[in-house]
Amino acid sequence: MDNNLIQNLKKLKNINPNHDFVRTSRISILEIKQKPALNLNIWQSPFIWLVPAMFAVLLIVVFNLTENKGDLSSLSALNSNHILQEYNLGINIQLKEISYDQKVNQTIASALSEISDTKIQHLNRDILTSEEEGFDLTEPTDQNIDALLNKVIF
Amino acid sequence: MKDEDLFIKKAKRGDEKAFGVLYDEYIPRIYRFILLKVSRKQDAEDLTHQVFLNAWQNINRYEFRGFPFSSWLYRIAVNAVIDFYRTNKHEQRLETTPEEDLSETSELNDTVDHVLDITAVKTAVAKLEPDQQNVIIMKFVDDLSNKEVAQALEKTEGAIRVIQHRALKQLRAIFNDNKPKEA
Repeated sequence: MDNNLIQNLKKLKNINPNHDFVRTSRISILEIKQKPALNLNIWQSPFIWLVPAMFAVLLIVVFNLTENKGDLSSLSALNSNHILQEYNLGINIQLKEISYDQKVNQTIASALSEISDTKIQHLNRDILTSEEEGFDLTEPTDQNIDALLNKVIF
Repeated sequence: MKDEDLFIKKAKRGDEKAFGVLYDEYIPRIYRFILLKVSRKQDAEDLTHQVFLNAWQNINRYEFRGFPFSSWLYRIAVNAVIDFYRTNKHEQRLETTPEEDLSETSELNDTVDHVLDITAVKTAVAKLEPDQQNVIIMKFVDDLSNKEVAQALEKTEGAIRVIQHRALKQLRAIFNDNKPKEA
């Protein structure tokens, strides 16, 4: 039984591709160039010139760094403690600027309110109060100053 | 194939004539293998073309090391068929073998019976599982050794023998089912 089966299977050998298909397929395949093989040999690479060029650039950079900066470890850019100090300093400066700006804003606001005040008052009440506190009415006056003032006023 | 190694070496260096010789040697087998798997002639031609194109473009990756060139081609063909079914996801359509695809050496008197026999065997083979089809076609149609089949299918020779045994058993069952019942 198996022999019969195998003989039947062998009859399938008579199946062959169409001649026109074979001819056309062969021509079209052989017209195509092969993919270039992956060349791991760096000495044959077209970019081999990049290797010494990059090496030279690296040497120049390292040379400049070591010549100008001396001890590389003293570079503040490489010292994390210095970086932290500079960072904190920056924050402090910003906080002081904010505080200053706030005082300026208050002063401006006071001046604007004094200007906009339509009542006949020559001086800001808060200023008068604060100046009054500084007055010492028992202090003897300077008669020369008094004479001058009288002259001006009257 | 005589001097096959020489042709392979030349083809690896880009010699298209050398690859043409390999193409002529193996295209009947690869086409036959694929046609028995996919059944439709147009699909078989497309896939066969794809297999040899792939082989030509990647022949630099082939190294002998005890792995024959035919096994390498069959492996490309197996993968091409797998991808074909993955992308097409249609069931096999069984076509009768056109007379033009039969060898011209067939005797004219036997042509009709020949065609019927071949169609019956094709139908039976198409009903097998993919691995069984592969083993049956490679071993009994293309006369590959167990070792070559194992290398092409990336299995052990022992596994190939087991698959062959099951495939033949299955084919016997299919042929028995198709036999007309005696009255």
